[in-house]
Amino acid sequence: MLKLINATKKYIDIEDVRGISKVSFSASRGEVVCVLGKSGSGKSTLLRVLAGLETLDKGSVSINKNCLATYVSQNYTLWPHLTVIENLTLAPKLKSKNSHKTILKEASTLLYRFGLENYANNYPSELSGGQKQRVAILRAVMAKPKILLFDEITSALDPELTKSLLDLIRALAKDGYTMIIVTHHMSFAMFVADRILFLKDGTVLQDEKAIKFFTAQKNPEIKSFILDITKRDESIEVFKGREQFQAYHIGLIKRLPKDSTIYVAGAVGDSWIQPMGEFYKYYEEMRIKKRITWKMVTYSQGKTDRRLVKEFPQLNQFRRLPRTIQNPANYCVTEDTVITQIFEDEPTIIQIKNQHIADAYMRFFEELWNSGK
Amino acid sequence: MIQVLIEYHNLLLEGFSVTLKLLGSIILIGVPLGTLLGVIGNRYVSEVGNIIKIGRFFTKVIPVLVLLFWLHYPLQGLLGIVINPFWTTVIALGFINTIATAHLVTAELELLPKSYREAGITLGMSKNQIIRKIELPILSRRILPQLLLNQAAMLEYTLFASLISVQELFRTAQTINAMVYKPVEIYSILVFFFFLILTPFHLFVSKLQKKYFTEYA
Repeated sequence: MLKLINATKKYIDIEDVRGISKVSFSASRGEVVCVLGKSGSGKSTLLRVLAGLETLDKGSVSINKNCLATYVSQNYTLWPHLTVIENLTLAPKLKSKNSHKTILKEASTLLYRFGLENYANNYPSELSGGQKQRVAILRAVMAKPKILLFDEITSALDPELTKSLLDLIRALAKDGYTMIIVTHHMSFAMFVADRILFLKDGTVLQDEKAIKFFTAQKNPEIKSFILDITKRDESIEVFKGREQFQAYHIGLIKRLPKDSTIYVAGAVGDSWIQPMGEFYKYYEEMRIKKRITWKMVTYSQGKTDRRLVKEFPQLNQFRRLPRTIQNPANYCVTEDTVITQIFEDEPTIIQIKNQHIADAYMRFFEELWNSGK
Repeated sequence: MIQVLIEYHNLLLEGFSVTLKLLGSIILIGVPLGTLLGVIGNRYVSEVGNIIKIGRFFTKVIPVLVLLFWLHYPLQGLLGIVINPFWTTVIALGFINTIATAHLVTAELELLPKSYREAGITLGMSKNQIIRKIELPILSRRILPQLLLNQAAMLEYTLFASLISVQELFRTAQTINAMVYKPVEIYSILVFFFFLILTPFHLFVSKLQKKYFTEYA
């Protein structure tokens, strides 16, 4: 669908040389790729190159024939002299062979689908930031592209508006659009991305499946970037160090209601018992007392896991994953919260409190569970 | 004052009519031609943009009256032609208005967020469609207040035409004064006339500025 080979584009300003250098990557149909990286790492340049707004110094971009790529930037870019419906229909009226009546109907249907039908005749100056951004996205969709390019579309929005945008992106992903999204919003990326492209100084430092990128990150530089960024994300909290790790799990088991379930996807069993230390016994007693079930998929079972299955089979449901199935490892879901865990010298928990993300992870868990034996 | 108005209303109306014709011609030349030159200079041919800059420089450093006199006396003498003073004024002020409009259009096109254009490009619109359907309509709203103020300045500049014998409103007032010598009444009529025309005009422009500042800033 879309392929970039050794793409190079440089901007030289007074202090610095910026842009992208020898970037290669491809995206297939229906894939959602989030581009992450620090400011000035070349994310926006990459998107502008894909949109055809910048010409490459070297390398090539190839997009399948008859595949239009439309671009939405963080500045909304709605044309201020046109109403919402006029913004949506101007380009199709000039380009499409369809009648104006059909185009108008299509635009009205889209607005209705995404709850903007009451704003059809409003001017952009009469809309909120979130509404403007959604209209800008729908305008891009009206051009019937196969690829949507989004540049920091959540940057000016508060968490509530970001949520409404998440719903829109999720719906577009279901519709099969290929999307390349530049964002600083980590929970947004976790929720929508199939793959993450991490840029550093204009080059690709990592191109990885999203869940693996966030939960089994090996690169210390990227790991530190994720932790740093997540501290700024209101829906994300980071608990670092052995004490915080233990306190978090004890707090969680106290907080959860009786007869609830913790869904766990892990690589190998017993990994977290070591960092829990002397608090593990207390945790286990409390869990059994509150009849909280562990529903767990891993490649292998640990000693403790096997004992628990034997002693409390109802509260410990295990399935073993075949090695052929890729598992990003080490996350658990409880109600509206996803916890990803890093077990190292300094054990770390990243907690994402977001119903949509929890739902997405649950769907993934179900897939793993059904693949397990 | 009223007595002078009643007695000389025909002459005053004739003078007013000449002023209106002058202003109309200057606007008809300056606004469309200036807009066209501005768009061409900024979006198509950069040399035209340079000509606008040179023209802008000359209209800034050469006073209107000097330009008008130079066109009326030495240039016509050098070329051995005689042009009606009315048309000399139209040419001089039309040129100034054209350059002012072209400069305004160029400057605003420069300031227009490029994201508007880029949105059009990525939606598959052509360069001409983007200029016609997006940039010019937005531009017209953004420049309208300043463009109107320029035309008000042109109305004031038409007074200079009296100095090369165009029988416009001010020259008519001078003629009437020479006949009856009632300067207080006659020039008060002029003050009243300009006040009546330009006050609501400036109020309207100020309202437009506020409206478009919030919507198109």
